[in-house]
Amino acid sequence: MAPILELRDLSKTFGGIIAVDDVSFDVQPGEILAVIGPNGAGKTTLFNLISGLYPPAHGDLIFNGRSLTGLKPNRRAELGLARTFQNLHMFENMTVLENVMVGRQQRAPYGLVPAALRFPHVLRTEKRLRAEALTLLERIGLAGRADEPIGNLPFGQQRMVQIVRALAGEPCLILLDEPAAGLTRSEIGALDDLIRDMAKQGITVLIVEHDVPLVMGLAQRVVVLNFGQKIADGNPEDIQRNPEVIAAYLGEKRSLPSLDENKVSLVSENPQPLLKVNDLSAYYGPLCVLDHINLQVAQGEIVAVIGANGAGKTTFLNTLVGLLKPRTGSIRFDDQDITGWATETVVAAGVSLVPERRQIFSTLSVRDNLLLGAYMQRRRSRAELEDDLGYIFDQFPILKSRARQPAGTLSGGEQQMLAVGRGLMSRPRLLMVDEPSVGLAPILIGEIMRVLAELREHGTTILLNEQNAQAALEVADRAYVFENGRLVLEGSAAELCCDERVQRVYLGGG
Amino acid sequence: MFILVALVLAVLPLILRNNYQVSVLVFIGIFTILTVGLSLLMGYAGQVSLGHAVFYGMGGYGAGILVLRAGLPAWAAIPCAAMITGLIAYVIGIPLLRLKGNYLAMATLGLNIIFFLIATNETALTGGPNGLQGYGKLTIGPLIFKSDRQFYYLVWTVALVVLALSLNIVNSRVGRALRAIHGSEVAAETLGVDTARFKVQVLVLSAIYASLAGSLYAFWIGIVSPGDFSVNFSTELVVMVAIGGLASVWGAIFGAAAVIMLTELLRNFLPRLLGSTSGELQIVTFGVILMLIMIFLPEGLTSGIVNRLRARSMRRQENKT
Repeated sequence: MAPILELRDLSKTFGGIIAVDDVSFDVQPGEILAVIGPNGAGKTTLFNLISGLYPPAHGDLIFNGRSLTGLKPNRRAELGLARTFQNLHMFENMTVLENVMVGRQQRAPYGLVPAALRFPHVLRTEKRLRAEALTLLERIGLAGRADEPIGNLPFGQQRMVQIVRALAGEPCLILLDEPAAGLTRSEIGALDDLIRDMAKQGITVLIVEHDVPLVMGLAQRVVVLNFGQKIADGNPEDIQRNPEVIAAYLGEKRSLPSLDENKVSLVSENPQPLLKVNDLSAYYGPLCVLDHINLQVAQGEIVAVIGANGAGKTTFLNTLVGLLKPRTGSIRFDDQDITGWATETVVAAGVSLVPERRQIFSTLSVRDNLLLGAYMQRRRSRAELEDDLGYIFDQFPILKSRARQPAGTLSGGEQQMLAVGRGLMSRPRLLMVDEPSVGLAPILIGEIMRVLAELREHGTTILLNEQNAQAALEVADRAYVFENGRLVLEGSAAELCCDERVQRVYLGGG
Repeated sequence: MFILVALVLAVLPLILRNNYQVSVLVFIGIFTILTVGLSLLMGYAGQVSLGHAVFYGMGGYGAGILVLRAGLPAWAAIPCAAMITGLIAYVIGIPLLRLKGNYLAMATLGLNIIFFLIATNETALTGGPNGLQGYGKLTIGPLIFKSDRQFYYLVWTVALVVLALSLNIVNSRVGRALRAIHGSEVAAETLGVDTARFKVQVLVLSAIYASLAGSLYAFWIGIVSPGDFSVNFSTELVVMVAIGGLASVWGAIFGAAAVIMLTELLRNFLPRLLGSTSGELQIVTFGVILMLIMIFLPEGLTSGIVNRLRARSMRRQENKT
């Protein structure tokens, strides 16, 4: 059978960064095809290229035998190509029904003049549209709430309305971008049913999803992206066993032998825990995002929290620093109960968070970025600040040579160094680093991990959130493995390094 | 609702004996034509315009230039000016509406400043700072529009037609498409809404409305000058639409009426109350009232009051059960 969609050498660059790199594959009519890959692999960019939100740098898209090059998104939708978004994009200023009717209106074309003069066929068409949209809402059991503002519905139901809104145009191919993100277990069940239902009707489904175990059960075929390149294409079982895929998710094995001896000695000198988390739970609305977590970090340790994208790692750090209020449990830091403290108080007590995706101030100079890291220490003298800057510049010589440059001109790896350096400026007792490896090439990941190991030798205790399990386990003393907000494994880095179960957490399967 | 409003408006001049009151109502009618169009563009489609006075001015100057310099009869000059304005809006709109948010606001502001400069400096065409006059009598067939009362009926007929057309548009596929563009342009595009086309269409429509309003104003007053079409005027229109409640065609009328009547009331009562005739005091009081409305009724006067009444009646029902 002729493929419904062909991707031919599709590429997209942003500035100097290659987001999608010569990706080619076919989508067969009627199949459910999943596109997976670690954070920053280029999955959403690929969807934006297919739906026409970005023009490709080069390459071509063939949809039902015709090239899509140069066609605007709305023309592609008219040809039968629909999509959903990870962050909903609902029309907040409309009712549930009207949202679906917008999706349906390409099937009822009439223009401004007939609408303004209210020709008879306009009224008939409107009536038909309403009825059809209501039928679609019945399919997901929301016909009863058709006339409520869309914002009244909980997140999970909005997600279903969003999919129905895309289906309303009667597409032959639908792109689902992270449809399960933020859904509860039972909602994921309903979503699973809806997707299977769509496929049964003959609609081809292309799905991007970070919940890999979920798509492994749903998809007939899986394409894996890493750093914008296609690294694998095959059925779910083969993908789960593919060594390249495993390396993409868990990281590649490297060794830093020189660091190994130091690990044990530093911990045994200071046995008392610096951070002690007891029975910690947190919710986003009704959604449980942290489920009774117990965790400890001793003075002088590097402790890693690992797990796939969406496991709750970032939420965990946010809860520790008071950005999210826990529902149960306690957090003790340095023998003080810091549960429920405001973020700035937690930071003043000696905790520093290096956030995900760096969050540097790109228009400010490197030096100013670092000085802002000491913002809470207003009483510190100028000389002391210069001392601290000197220490950071010793640790990161590259930052010293770029001190006057705007931080936005640094490369990804340098920006990560800057973010860590900024976190150190408050002289934290505990440095928490969130996903430092995201978007970095393997050699740079190694460099960042080496820096963290060195900082630990200077006496900084580190809590490291990392998707790249291999890289994290190389520098960490101990690690905790998260999955869907639960703590599923813990142990010394050496043990977890060779534990098959870690791989299953990431890729599912037997 | 529509028929009720039309009836009230038809009877109103018969009750009012005071010419001043009728002239205030003519003003409200002219502003209604403007704000309804701006509400479609800004409230529904979400495209901010800080230069709507440009299209109003094109109607005002355009009709005059066509009468005085091209010798067209008045009844033909008004629709001709509207068509030319629509065409210009179309040509400007294609590049302009690619801009979003603050950039669009800045660009429309710039457009208004350019228009003001042209109106002031192209003396041969526009009469320069002294303005353009000599519009003459507006006659349409056997009808002659001269008095305030005659203009009242003409202006409000146009306003009601504009209102009816706009209500039809809002409650249709096109209205939904406009609101979808406001809600999420990206989502609208991927659902097959031709956002670029709809945005230009609604700009052209609101420009035609504005041009009609401008022509009517020019024939009524008999003179237009650059100051009538300044950036200040454009912001005043935005205020009226915001007070009425952005995405509401009815609100646009009430917004226009509320602002104009408030201005007139302050002008008449404040000097009596305080014994001073200083204009600054009026402006300050006006500003304070606007701020209070936006703080306590951020959805605008109409939807704000309606929502509040609805919430109260719901609470009452809950108390009963």
